[in-house]
Amino acid sequence: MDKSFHASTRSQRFLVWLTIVLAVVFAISYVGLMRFFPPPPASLSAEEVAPLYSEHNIRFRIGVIFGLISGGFLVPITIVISLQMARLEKGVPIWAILQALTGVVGTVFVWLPVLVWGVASFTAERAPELTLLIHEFGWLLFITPLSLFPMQLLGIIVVAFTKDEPDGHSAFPRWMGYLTAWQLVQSFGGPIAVLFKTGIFSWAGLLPFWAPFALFSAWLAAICYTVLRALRHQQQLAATGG
Amino acid sequence: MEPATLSPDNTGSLRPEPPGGHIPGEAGVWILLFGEMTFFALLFGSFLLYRTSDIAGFTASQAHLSKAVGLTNTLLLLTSSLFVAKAVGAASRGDTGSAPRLFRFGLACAIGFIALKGFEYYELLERGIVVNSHVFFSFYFGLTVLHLGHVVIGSVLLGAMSVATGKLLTKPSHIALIESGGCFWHMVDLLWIIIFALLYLVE
Repeated sequence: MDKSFHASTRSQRFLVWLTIVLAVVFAISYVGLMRFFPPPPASLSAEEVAPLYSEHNIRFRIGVIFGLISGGFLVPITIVISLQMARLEKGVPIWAILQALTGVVGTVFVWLPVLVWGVASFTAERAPELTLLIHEFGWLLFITPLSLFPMQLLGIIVVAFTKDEPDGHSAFPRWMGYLTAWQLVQSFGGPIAVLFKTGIFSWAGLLPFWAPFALFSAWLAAICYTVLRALRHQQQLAATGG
Repeated sequence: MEPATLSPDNTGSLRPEPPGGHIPGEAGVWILLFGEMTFFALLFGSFLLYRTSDIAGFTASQAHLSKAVGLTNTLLLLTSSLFVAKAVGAASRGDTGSAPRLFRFGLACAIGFIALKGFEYYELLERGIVVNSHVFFSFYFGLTVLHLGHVVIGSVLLGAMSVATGKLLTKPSHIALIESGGCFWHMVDLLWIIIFALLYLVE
């Protein structure tokens, strides 16, 4: 284990909690203010989409503001996960680097759709077809880009299965490896939404939205838990000089 | 109950037998397997639900699919599952000669499956049948593309396992990982059998 990768456990715990707080703010603005939960059906016409933004326009735009503030909630946990991975990797921590970079860039696809919906709500009285265009852009941006996320998960899976640390002390117990593998396998449903406007394969359906939403929430909660548990253990080790 | 041991047991496995019986792979992999199967069960349930509203349309659409192609693909996956089961057995006995070979046979069947699926898609698209031709085909393309993604991931795993089992695996955790990979492949096979029954056979 390379000591140079040890970072302050206190800073790392702060970052995990920052993710948790920002994720809650994001959820409130997405569910409560933008009211995109459940998502609007992908089959809506221009005349049906326009009122999503023109009715309660100010509430929606306040939701956008909080979404823009909190949309980077994945960045702090991504960095902490990579520090924890780097502790366990031998030599140059290539999987930690991959995880960090793909996680940071991937967060754009959480944050940017909010701005796109913000544009949709900014001039709500424009021709409905234009609002439909930007609305669909925002939704496809939110649901379908996939390339980076599986790479991010792959790094976590590799470390979970190759590490030399007992499961109870590690941020990546083997079950976390399998949970992450499930998340990886599941994530491939997203791009399929490009093909469908109705039914369970559309962006408001079971495959691209509900299943990944449920699994991602569970996965994020689980990894916050295992990382905090591992940090507590590392803090105890440091306190006893171990 | 026998104590855990690293010497070959009566099945010839190098893996210590935990008290209470042997879980294929390890407990954690069943998060993935049961999770994925539950998720697919929801998809299958939705298919049957949509089907009840238009049984005639679903049956008419189903007639466009070739049962022979579907059956060939089923046989390919069943055969590959047999190879993979044998390969996992060989790997846990420390047989570094036949395990990689058996995994490669399994991989060859998987590639055959992917090629035949590609041919089937091409043929349907040539005839102008696309995702929105009928709800049946939305499900056909949605389910089979999703399953094909699993086949591709599984094929990558089979390739990786054929490389990994070329050396003697000494750690029980490595053998568990090979068994888990095998279980994933059996799940991919099992899901296909249900998809085959639902899309090609249900009348």
